[in-house]
Amino acid sequence: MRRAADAGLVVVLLSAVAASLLFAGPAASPGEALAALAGGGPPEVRTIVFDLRLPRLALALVVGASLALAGAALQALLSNPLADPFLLGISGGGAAAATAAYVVLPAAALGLVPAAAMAGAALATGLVWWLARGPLGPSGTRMILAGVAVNAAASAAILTMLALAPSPRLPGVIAVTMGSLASANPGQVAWLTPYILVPGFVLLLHGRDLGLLATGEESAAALGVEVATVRRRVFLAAAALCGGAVAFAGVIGFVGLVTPHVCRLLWGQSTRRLLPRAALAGAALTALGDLVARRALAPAELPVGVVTALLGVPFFVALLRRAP
Amino acid sequence: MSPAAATGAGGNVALLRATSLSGGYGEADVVREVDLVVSAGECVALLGPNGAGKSTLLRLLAGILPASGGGVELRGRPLAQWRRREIARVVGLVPQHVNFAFPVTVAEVVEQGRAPHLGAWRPAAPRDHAAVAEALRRVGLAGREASGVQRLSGGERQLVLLARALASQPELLLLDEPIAALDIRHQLEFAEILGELVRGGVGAVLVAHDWNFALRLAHRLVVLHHGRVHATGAPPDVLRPELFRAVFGVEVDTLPRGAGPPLFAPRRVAPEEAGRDGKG
Amino acid sequence: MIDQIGSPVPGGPVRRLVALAPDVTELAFAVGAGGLVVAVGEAADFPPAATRLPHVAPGDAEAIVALRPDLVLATTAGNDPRLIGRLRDLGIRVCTVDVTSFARLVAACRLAGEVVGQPARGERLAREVEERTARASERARTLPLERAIFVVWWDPLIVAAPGTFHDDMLRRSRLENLAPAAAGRYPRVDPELLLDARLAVIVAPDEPDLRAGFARLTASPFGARLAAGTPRVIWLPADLADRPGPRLPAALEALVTARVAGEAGSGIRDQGSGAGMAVATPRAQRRPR
Repeated sequence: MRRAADAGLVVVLLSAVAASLLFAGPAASPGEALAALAGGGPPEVRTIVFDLRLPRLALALVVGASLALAGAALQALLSNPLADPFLLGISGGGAAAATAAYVVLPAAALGLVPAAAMAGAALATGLVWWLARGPLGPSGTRMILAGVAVNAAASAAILTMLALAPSPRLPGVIAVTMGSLASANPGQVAWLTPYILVPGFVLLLHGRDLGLLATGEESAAALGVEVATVRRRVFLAAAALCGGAVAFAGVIGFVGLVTPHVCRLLWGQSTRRLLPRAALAGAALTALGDLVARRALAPAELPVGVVTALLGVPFFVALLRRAP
Repeated sequence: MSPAAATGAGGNVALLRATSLSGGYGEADVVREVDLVVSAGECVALLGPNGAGKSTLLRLLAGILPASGGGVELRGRPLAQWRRREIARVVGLVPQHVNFAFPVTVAEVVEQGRAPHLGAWRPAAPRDHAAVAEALRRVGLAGREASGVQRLSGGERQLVLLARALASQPELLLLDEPIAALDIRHQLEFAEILGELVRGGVGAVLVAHDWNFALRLAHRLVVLHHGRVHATGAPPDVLRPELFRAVFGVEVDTLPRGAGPPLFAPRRVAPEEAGRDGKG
Repeated sequence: MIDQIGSPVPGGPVRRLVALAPDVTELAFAVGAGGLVVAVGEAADFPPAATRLPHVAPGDAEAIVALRPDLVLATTAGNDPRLIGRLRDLGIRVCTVDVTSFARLVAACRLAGEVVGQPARGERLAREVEERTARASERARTLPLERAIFVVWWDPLIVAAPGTFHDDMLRRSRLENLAPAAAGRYPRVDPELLLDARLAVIVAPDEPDLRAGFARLTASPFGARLAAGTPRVIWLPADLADRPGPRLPAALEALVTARVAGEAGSGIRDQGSGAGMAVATPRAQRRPR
């Protein structure tokens, strides 16, 4: 059954890639897009496929993989099925900083917004860590509570910025707070892809440890996990992945929450087995979500965070109802 | 303060030796200057009232709580010199309660017990599957691999946790009130399984509230009171009505049974004596 | 060439033009490049030839690329700067106008002419705009100075601040803008500004949404004074007054005319009807030559 699921994952991923390149809009038909991929086709179609669709797809894949991987790791680390970077305030912190930068910076300096987002995510991470510390170091429960607090603060900051934003900046602010892949460009992808390699590797390295941590810190320690070290590394790696995602795509909620659960249904609980598959599934789901965002109400474009929320909420409700 | 507890039962090699061990969770120490030795094939029961520090001591012995004073030696080497994974290959912990946040099967839980032998990347080999199967057999859960743990009864869940600890093929088991939530039948089953293991050469430190249960298995008792060792030794030497009065604050009746240790039945709360602390 | 937001616009022939907003659409037609326009932004309604052109949705970079434009005309009055940036990154020539005053409108006319390869036409358009503006300002010179605001939205109350072309219209009609200065181009302000004793005139674009908002406002107790005519409201044709294109001087003329009529005490305080006060008729439209 697991083999079939692996094959299914590859098929879904390849379909998402193909659909995003071929069926993303009326400006280039599937036939024209295919011709462009094969090396031919008129120059404007080549521009559309290689300079618009391909970077956007690449960004969707990288961001989706980052969020799903971080979500799966955090759920195991905190022994909590509801953990995800969104709920822990990391996305919120990044979005608040990005929004503030959008509102305040002069037009020439708007290239600094992603840097602000990463700084905001890092700050939120530090804040959550600091708020969650207890006599034995930060515990899972305290982290979730701290995340709620940081999220509340970030939301307040974002609302303030929204109220003060001059109207030309509003679309940019909306893109950050609701998640959007529309501004993808090759430079962003070139930066983000190597960036996620280190934190991604750290999470994969601790896959087995995370599986043990999911049954509690005491059990994990007794089974050989250096709990304090792993907790610190995993949290920082997840935060780094999330910061990168928010910096270039804004807040895309529910991918980090929902993807690991779907994967668990297909591949079981072993976190070590789950993490790489969650990353691939997150990539595919985000690419498909972005496609829906572009086509559902064409020519208007929905922010991709809206699509993931609309799809994620019924899933979330189903999850809550299933819980023992 | 405590009588010398340096030698193990029957002169076996000491697996674990605690010397003047102190530790706690914050500022104050919960456990104070405890000496304790466990050998292979020996079961030591930790008894004491609530708050005496039994669970804390167990965590200190497992090395998952850092000691503030004194030390623990495992196989003759100080615990601080061991790496976590190395300790986990020798010592198995059966915690009192595990919260399963995600739906897991029995097999998945017991497989976790192989983690100390596997490291970060190595997938499970036939040897690991065999260890898991053997652990399940010993606790009587062979054939239940695919059951969801959340659907099991408390007793069965405790057996799963024991199987997980056994899957790592430890030399020493640390059990934290394993029968606290079990009905009488599962209590006896657990006691039988544990007894078999100890007779087979595994050492055990057992934290128990129920002294009658402890008496079925323990070669030696260590009674903690306010974090210190109040008494230690073979059961008949340690469990006397005076001890029950002094440590637990109850009056007991001693009911002899043929072969084997007597039954201690509580009669009533002991009357307060001038100058004595409250219980626990 | 450098456009009005400071970005370089490479030179070259222009055979296919995309105009992303109504003001630059009108500009393109007015400098004689109407025949080169292959698509316009959604709200283009003038000149009539523009209404027959295909529309391109705002933000749809793919559609713009598919049109193979040699030049894209954009404006800060309504186009997303991120889209403009993305089009530049894709190697498309973009010229952005930033009309925050009549002087900059004149410069925009010259810029448009140069960039489409019709510098003479651009120069002529610039001078026409300059002259009409000067004549209208001159007519207003003898008017008493009154305090006013330019309302962009009633609820919440959003007004035009100093540094916008709306503000320039007010100033050239001898109206002092009461909007706050350092809070952005179109700040949201306290509705109590409507009750300010100094406020004598409110100028607003005549558009169904704004008419409806005004009706709601005057129906409420807060708007009682306004309903009674203090301060008085001058409605300007929205397609002229809200669009910093080559017909903007017509809006200025309409505003000045309304003030003159008001000063003449003709008692025209008709704020309820669609005809309103001083609606400049579409006779003022420029015919492309």
